[in-house]
Amino acid sequence: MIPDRAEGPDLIRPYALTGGRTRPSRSDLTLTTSVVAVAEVVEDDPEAREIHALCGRPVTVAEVASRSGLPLGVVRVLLADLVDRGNVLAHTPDRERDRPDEATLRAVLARIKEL
Amino acid sequence: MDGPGVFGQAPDTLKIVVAGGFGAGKTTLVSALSEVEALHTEEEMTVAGTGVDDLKGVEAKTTTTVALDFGRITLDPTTVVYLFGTPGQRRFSHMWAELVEGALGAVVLADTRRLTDCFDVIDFFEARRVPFVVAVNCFDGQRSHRAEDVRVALDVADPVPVLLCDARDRASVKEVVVELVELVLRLEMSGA
Repeated sequence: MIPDRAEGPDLIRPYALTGGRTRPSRSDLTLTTSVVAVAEVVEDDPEAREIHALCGRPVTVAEVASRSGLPLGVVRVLLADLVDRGNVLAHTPDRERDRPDEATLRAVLARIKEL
Repeated sequence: MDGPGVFGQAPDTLKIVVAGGFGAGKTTLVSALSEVEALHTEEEMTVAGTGVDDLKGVEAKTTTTVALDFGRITLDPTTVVYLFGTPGQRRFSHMWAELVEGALGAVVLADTRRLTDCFDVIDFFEARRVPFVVAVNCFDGQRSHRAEDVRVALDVADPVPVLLCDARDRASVKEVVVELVELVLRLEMSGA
């Protein structure tokens, strides 16, 4: 784990971790994009390794950010690098593009009422 | 977007945006329904200055950290609902644009002490045609306000449900989400 990043003042500026890049190399990583680790990371970059480790099972970009304690923008840049290098696979849900149909909505409604 | 780096077995995710002013109870509402303790992340963003501390002749911009709280509800192995809490003031509208992309709909969480905090985000949802409900958080558990009075004060149209809720209470929050999904269903069936 990256120790105590959420605690106390940061000693380094967040985008130092990305070599100053604030925009990810790909724009398809939304908050609810699922990511999962595949190939091992060979780079000796602790943040990339940390993020890769957090993707051990399919998890959303938002959850990776939350669990790493790194700002979302930084996570997006580092995750995009991992996807580009083939270390992580990404899947953006269909709902980002299509509205749910009536049958889906009825199913969702029934499930929520059961909660 | 298909192509390299895409896999197919991820669950379908539905996104609900919860917007409200600071202290309106967004995190509480998200936590009430989430199967995990509300998760938290931060986004650094550049925002226009608020005007209070502007220097004359200098275009005031400042970087701020925006907290994003969210929760997860797994409805079944193939369907997961995410609730994302976001501040309701216009200077956070960069974030709203991404959050509403593909969102099922939104909950505007209103605090009757500061109803004006909701105006910007209501304007935004109306302009983007994002289905939303207004939930009035009754902190003290007393329903001292009438939903209809809040509707008038916020000037929201009749089809928009306005209901009282207790953000701490799971059943009450469930009612709010059910109201939202029923609204989306009505809109879908009417072809809107």
